[in-house]
Amino acid sequence: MAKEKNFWRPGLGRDSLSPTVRGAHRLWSWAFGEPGHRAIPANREHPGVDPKLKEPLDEARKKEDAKYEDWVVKRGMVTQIYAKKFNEHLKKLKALQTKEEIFRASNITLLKKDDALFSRMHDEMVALVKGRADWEGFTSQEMNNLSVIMHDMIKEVEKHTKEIDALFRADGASDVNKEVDNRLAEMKKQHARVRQTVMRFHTDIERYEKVSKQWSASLTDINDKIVKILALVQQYRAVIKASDAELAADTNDDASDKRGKYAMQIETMVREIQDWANECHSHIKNILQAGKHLYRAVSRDIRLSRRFEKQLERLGKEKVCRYNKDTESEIKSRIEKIKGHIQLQLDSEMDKLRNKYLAELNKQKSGGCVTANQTASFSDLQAELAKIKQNELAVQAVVNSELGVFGDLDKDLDAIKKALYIKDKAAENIEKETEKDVVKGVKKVERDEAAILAKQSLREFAQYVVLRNTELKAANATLADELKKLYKDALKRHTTNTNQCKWGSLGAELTAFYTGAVGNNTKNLAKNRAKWMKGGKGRYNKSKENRSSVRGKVSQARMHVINRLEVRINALSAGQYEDNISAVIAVEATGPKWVGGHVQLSVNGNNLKIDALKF
Amino acid sequence: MVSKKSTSKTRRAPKKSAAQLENELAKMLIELRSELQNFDRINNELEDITGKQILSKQNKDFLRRAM
Repeated sequence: MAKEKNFWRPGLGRDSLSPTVRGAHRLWSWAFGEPGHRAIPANREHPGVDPKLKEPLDEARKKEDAKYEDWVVKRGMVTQIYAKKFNEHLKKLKALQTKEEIFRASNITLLKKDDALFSRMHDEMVALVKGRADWEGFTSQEMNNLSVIMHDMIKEVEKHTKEIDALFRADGASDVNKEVDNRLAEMKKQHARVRQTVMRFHTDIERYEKVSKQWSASLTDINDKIVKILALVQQYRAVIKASDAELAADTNDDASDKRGKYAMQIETMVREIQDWANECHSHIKNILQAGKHLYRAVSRDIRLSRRFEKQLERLGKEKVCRYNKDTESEIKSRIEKIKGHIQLQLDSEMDKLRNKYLAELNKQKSGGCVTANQTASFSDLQAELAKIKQNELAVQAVVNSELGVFGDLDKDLDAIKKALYIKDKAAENIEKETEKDVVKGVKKVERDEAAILAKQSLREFAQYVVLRNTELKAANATLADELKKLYKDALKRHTTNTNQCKWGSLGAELTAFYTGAVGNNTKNLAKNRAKWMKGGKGRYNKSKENRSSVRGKVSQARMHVINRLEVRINALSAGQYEDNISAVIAVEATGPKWVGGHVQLSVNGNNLKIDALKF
Repeated sequence: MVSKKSTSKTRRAPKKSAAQLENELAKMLIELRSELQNFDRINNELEDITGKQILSKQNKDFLRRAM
């Protein structure tokens, strides 16, 4: 540990080579041959020659082959992973298709859902009205609220209809569209009817409100008039009284009496009317309330009965439900009829058989003793019996199939429930997945899938998945081929020694650059440094060789090598795999002993490493 | 400051004679009858809307008599 530390520490002595430069030379000699004649001081610790160089060529080949095998295995693993992924996609696709089929089967359920919405709307309307303890007190504000609620509900229904419409129209089949058009037209009619009912409801309430106000106003007016009349009567009586006092001597008592009686009559009559009006006022609230209750109950009953009648009629027409009271009784009566008919047939057949049997028996008896061996001619009787049994079974099958209709109903209902559940669950899952994807920042493709899934129909998404899988598969195959080629080329370069260069054109390029930057020896290095860095004539100075500018040249050369390799890898991967496949190059420059390029290709998070590209 | 006495005099309505009051009463009674008829009409309309008899039989009989 301590030695390593010393080894790495720069400037150990004036005559020592910089470990970085020395390491770079060693690296270079390992990769491209001996760069110069300078011997490495024996008293200096160094990491030693790369053991690879000592090994015979075939051993190296063997190792490389082993690595190639390893790579193939790894590639196989990656392929397996992708095959697994592909299968998963296929499974998902199949599941989606199944869901879609069930979804198609449950389109009626959607319509039924629409009916449920209508029912809910109606219930809410009724609940709203029911909530009013005092019917009379419907204010205009409440009327407005009611109107807004109803309007919203109608809008909701329309929105729902549009959604269903869009869902159905996503399917290209013309007969389905036709059917959908019919159903939609029916639904629209139903909407219109609901709208009419609601409007009529509004009109009735408005009219009632208007007339009841008039009623109260009229009664108040009557009361006012009564009060005035009573006041007038009082005045009249006072006047009569005064005139009687003044005209005490007047003998016209008869006229005075008459006026008094007239006033009394008026007062009595008016007071009666007043009592009557008060009575009307006191009872009117209860009467009106009862009237409104009746009105509400009757209109509700009418609407409900119409709704149920039409719903039943529609469900029957659409054959959504094969079971209702009429069909049940019809089927049962049919079965009874069949049973009766069959029973008659069976009876007659049995009679015939019995007669035939008796005739045969008599024949046998008349012919002699009847034994078991002598009943050979009974075989046709037995055959007939079997035939009858067969008929009976067939009839039983018919009866069973008729009865099976009721069993089918349960299945249908289960299927519809299941479809609805699956649909809801699928929607929920899609929502969850989408959310998860956004949170985790998954790849663009998956986000696209989620977005498309949300926007498009299930069928379109399924097709998209298939297409995407095909593309991915093709991309994987191309990638594998490219990598294989790359690796082979690298091996070839590594094992070909021409012009003292094992790396082909890349090697030549790098050699030129390295020689230019570093030089064959430290002297050249200093010269080049002076030439490149200062633009003047350089002079070798041993004491300066460990300076940062010199070391910088070495690392510049190293980085150049790395960059070139990175450019190559990037060129290989760029533009072909988009963001699905990224090429990552990780480079380890571990000091003078060893500089290694370590290519790591990342495909959808699965890494494929190539360790052989060392230099 | 000496406060001024209010000089305004309250006007008294001229006393009506018995004959005038009789006329006025007769007029008011005609108006009352007309209002009762109007009420009967409105009541019928309301009963038509609600489909329920609002006034009791006695009340209705009285209304007819009063009209």
